[in-house]
Amino acid sequence: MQQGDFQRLERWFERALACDAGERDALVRELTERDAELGRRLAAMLAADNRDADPVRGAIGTAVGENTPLPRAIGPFEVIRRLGAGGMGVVYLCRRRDHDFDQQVAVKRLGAAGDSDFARQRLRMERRVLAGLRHPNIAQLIDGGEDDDGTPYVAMEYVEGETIDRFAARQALNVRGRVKLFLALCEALQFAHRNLVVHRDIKAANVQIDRHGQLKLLDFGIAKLLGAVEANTEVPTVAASMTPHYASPEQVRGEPVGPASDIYSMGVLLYELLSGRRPYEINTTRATEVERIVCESAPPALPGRGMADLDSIVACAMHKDPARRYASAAEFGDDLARWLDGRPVHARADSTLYRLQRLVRRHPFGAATTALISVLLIGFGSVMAWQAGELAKQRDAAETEARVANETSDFLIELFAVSDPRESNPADVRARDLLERAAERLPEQLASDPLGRARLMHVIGLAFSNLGDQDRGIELLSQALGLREIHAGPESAETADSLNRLGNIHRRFGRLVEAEPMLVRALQWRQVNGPVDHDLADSYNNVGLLQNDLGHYVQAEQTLRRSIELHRQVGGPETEQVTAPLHNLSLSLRRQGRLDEARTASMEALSIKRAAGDWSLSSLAVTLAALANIERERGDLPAALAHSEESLELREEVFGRDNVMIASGLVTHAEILNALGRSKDAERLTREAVALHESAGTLDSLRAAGVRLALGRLLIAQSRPDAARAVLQPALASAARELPEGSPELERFRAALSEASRQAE
Amino acid sequence: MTGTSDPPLTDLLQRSAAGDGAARDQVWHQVHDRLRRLAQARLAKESAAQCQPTELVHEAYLKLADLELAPRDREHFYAIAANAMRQVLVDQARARNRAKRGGGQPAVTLNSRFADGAPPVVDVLDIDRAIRALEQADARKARAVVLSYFGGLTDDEVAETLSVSPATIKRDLRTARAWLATALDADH
Repeated sequence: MQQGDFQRLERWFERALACDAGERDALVRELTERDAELGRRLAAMLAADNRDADPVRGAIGTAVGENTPLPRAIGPFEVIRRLGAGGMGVVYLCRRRDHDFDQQVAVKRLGAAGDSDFARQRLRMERRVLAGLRHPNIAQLIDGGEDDDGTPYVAMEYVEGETIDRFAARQALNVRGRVKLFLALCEALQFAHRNLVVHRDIKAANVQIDRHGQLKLLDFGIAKLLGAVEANTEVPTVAASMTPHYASPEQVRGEPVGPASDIYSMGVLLYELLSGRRPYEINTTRATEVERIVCESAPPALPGRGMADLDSIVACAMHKDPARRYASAAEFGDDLARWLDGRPVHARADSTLYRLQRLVRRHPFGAATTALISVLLIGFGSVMAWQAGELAKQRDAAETEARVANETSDFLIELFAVSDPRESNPADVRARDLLERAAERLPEQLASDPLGRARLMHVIGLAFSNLGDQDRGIELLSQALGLREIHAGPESAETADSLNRLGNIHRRFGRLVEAEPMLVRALQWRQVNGPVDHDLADSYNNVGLLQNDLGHYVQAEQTLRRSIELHRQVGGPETEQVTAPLHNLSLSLRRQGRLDEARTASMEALSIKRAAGDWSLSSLAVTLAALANIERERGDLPAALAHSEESLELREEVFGRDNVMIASGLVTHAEILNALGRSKDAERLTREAVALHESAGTLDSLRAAGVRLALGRLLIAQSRPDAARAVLQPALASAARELPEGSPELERFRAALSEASRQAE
Repeated sequence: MTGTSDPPLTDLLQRSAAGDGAARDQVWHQVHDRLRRLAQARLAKESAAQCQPTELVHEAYLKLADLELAPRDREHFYAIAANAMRQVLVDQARARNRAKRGGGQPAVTLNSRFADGAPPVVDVLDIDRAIRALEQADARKARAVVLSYFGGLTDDEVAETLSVSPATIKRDLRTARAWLATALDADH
């Protein structure tokens, strides 16, 4: 750099130092316009000036230390070479002198400059901590003591390997492989936490994979024994020696840290492992800046499709509020294991709120200038208020027995989540026995906690109804509703939840008269009292379905569009939640004869479900069947047949060939075969569907009526009016019981029956 | 103290202050030699990364200048010692790089396992290059940097040595520090 340039730069630099931040930016822009290179240099100088750390001074200090000739021995260990220098001392690779076997160890020894009482205490602490931790995933303490001139040291298992991130990159591990690798860290931390040790410096560099592929957690150098009294002086030192990228909000604020802080850092590490980058850009060591970034900004979502569940898991681990993170490393690991097994993850429950928070942060109140944003904020206000209440409740709950009961209930729910075939793989379906046993034992469960008991009944009831046993399902859900109305109150989120679910099951099995007041009450409660969340959108969806069933297709269309809008507002345009109302919308459009629009909606639902990858099979089957119907009505029979075949295969895979849940799929397929001229095959399949309802005891349901209606029409088409009347008459009787007079759905039955009668004459 | 064949340091310093180039070289060599031996002895005793050059230079000063120095000589000595310190470190860094190129143990870089997250580790040779560049642009700031960083002098001592006000030195050092940091970043 020329003297003249340097002097110009110096003048600008000194001018900028005298200004506030805003004016500085203006100065940089001004100089950049005149001379881009000098402007860049000025910006860099101001940034460097803003950093507390001085790399030059640091490097010179290091250089002085690095020229150290090796000590020959430390205690009983012969020094081989220097491995590096840490905050307090130097680490050497050593070999044990007085043993026959050749054991290489890493020996950390205090340096002269680190030889203070504080440093000695810390090293002794590390020794004590490590001595209590024997775990295959934790680098083991081998020895410790003082060498000849009284300098303390610790000798640890020498891990010859590479850091977890480099290992994953070199092995080109996929997402599943990385998650599996990470599970061992969860185990190591769970072990440490159970032994009342908090690591406090979890980062990629401290998690090594050795030559055998074994994960080893290193460096308990700034670990803390829970319950040990901390000297006040320790806080700034710990703050200075930790790595800001991994530091939890409470850590950067210098507050006391517990296991939750390790969980946070693990979340950062998992994020890094899955995305190849860190959640936050931290280019400063200035404490106030680090605190602002870590405590106030939200990390971007994990990039890539199908990462939504893992994103929820990371978000749960990295929650700003320690109380909302995973309660233990084991829970963290369990959720990852659930993800690996394709089961629903617990973190997802927390994620709706998390996403909302993220949205709110991206649109700070001051920037709310557009109408759209201000409309959104009305909803957010209530969410935030609700969240505050929720937090307070959680804190109170921690001290009561209710929490214990909740945990019991959580455990059982997790158990039963497996037996819900809509949520899991076909391999898990054989859980009916387990359900029966659980239901039998229900009366003696959780007698002191009626709401916990209600929750359990609710979940078991849902599982029964999802397995096709509507009576058991409705019975249990009704009991749960009763308990909730008494103990949580008729106007409560719990009661609304019960009403919504129970109403929907009544609706699903065609008892619309029972369903309507329940679904409407649940929706009203949620509109008035609830947050803007997926539950509210789900209530709109169920009411929309009811309107479809009642034949109010135009109203249904409006209600379902509202549901879609809300789901997207909460979870983004591609949220998987939106597929249910989209699917149902296609049904209303189809019934209105708007087949191309129906097809578009149905295809959209299908593509989101397929993109989600681990979407449950039965749900995919339902949408494929709907699409098949639409294509049939549009006249594209080959497309209809292909969708229908895939749908039927999926349903059989989930429910088995003889389950009533495949009846509607059989009918869809039969209608297509009939249109293709294979009327005998169509009749056979439809009769099969009727038989399934018969053996399930649901022959007088609205669903079965729909199946018999289809059969009747097939028979009319074959000019067999007597046989048609024989199935249509009982069908009309059931339909008339469930459907209100004047409903267009009911008219479909009457029309078919009168056609059969005309044909007979 | 120095051997009998060497002229006393005080004489050398005074002569060099008066402009005797040969005398200055002799002082320099003495200081450099002492510092190097001192650094090694001291470091052999196990001094860690935190060992600051200040201590070494002061120790060298005590060992070398077991004599009454005029204030002017003391400042002169600081300047020489700081430069000698810089030279010791540069020489050692070069020697280490040669050893690396010659094979042997792969060096464990400091920023791998033990200093992750710390400010980026900068090589002394890079710093030396950056200081040379600064010398071209602004010689006084470069001298202030050497005195402060390698000599371990306080700002006031640097000001006294360079015969300018402490306020000026503070400003010089702040600018130089920021400028060096950007020069080092540009290298990477």
